[in-house]
Amino acid sequence: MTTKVTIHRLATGVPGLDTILGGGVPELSFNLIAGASGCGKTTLAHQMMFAMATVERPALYLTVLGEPPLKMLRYQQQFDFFDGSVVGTAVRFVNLAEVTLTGDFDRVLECIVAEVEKNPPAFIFVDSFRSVVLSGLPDNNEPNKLQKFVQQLGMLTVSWQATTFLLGEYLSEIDANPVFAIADGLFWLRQSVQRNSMVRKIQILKMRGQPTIPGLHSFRIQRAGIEVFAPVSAPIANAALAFDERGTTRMSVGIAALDKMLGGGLPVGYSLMVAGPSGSGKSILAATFLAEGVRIGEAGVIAAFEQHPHRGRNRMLVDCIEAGEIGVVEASSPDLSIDEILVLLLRETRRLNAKRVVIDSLSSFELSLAPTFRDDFRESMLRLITALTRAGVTVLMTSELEDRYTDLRFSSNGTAFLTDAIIVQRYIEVDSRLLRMLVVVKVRGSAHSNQMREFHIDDAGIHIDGMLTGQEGLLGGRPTHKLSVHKVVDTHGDIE
Amino acid sequence: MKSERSSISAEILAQLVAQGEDAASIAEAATRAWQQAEDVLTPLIGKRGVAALYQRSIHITTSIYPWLAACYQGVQHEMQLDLLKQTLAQYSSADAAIASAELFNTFHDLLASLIGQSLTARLLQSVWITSSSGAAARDLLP
Repeated sequence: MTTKVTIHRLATGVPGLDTILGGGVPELSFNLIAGASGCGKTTLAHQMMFAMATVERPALYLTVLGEPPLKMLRYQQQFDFFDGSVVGTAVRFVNLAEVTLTGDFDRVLECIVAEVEKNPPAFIFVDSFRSVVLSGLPDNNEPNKLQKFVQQLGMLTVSWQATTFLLGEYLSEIDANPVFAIADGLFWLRQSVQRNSMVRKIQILKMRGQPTIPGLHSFRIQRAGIEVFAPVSAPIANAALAFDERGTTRMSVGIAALDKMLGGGLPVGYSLMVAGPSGSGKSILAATFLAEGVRIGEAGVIAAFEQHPHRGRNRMLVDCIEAGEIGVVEASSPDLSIDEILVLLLRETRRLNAKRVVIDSLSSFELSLAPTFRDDFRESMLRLITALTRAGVTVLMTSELEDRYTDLRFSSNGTAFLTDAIIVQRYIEVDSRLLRMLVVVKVRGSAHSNQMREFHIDDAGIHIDGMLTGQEGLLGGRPTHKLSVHKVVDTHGDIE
Repeated sequence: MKSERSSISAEILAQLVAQGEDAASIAEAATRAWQQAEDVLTPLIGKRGVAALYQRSIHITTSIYPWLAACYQGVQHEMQLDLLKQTLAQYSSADAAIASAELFNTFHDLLASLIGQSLTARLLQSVWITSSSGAAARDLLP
């Protein structure tokens, strides 16, 4: 017989937060939401409160010395989660600022007890805490007084059968504040400022008895409230491909000759990188890939990171976007995180049940990331690609390649090895013309052509032409005619 | 913008006048309503907060009814309702009613400008309803 207590977990109502908490907030826990001022503590508390409180299980929001309550109500109601119709019933605000100003902790505690007894709450929020310390009288042994106060509060809240959140203004977690030891859960909010971008991050430093996801997770405060971008690890249940299923079926990229070069189309669930210099036709290839999907009834999603996403975009693509067959994830703010993009991409993919995802381009993506994330770009890309391909979609990424002909490179930051397939486009000079050629460099676990094929672009799209057999030194961009003129028989690796 | 609740309070006071109540009774009714407003708002914004809004309302309303200046005291720790009661009682019942209604309106609008119309209406709902003892006033409610 098992008589172990079951701890219920409460959904916080903050997208992504339950995931990093390891499944919500434990019932009757005593939590601390800490961080410098302006980092979103009050907003987080309000959002959780409005999500969790009901008339049967009401919340009590005690303003100790934080924001003046009128200001708090004024600004918090700008968020979508603020529901004025439950104020006074499911949610009660009580201001204890005047008592706190006296610096008498026992009085504050008495007032809290009185409020709790008047109308027993299931959730108690105390906003905010550091201010309690500061306003206390400096004489008789401050830390002990506070520790006593917090301990008593912690004990009382459990016996009241309430889940409690203390909001505190702490500057660093090494303050060694006694509150940290007492709390069951410790939410740390931060703002990381680098150059002109500011990124908000949340860290769950502690949550008793729960497998939280460690590390800093970016979040954003928008009109709807806070959204935490939890790392995506679990595959999307129904759409997920088993690992060995990947690559068993193939999809067309929309250009028959290129499909042939890839060994019969792009394996489903693969990631393909199209690398080439500016203007070589990467975006057109990406658009063709998406349009082919639409043609056969597969929705697609494009992540665009240009300054003006609609300017100069492929007409065919614009039509599909307007028809709602291709979803767009547009991100031009300078403080993006990979996790945020991933969450947005997966959301759009799920919404449309999309099979094809295009990231155009990796280079502009990297630039639009907040500087603080650029150092981890490769690790993050690996996560992004893994999460997307596990979700069952096939990914095409374009990568800007410097016009450098002395070496064969596929991506500027070593991300090429992360992808399953690579196509490289190059400019070449032949007989005083600038021609384009492409070659399939890699298709993991599959035979593919090794031909370097000339291609041209016209109004109808990309056309693959013949091999440039009379030339050599194509990768250098300035091929020369071969001296010995004999017909080159190149069948090795050619699966035509 | 005149809010729904405030005009109801005006109706209530006008009704008291119509019933032939004297200024002292009007003052009594108005003070009772203010007391309730204070009770409702004090937990939320504190005694000082309520007093500050009340004083500000008087200050604004004196532009229409200069004689209300007798109630204005500037920074206070709590509302001085006795002073309001005394002042109102010195005038005619019609004057007391109309000035009280205006003061309510000003207070209501001031709070609404800070925390929005719907939340204000919600908080002060019970005040404007119960401050009337007449049954007819309830018919005016939606």
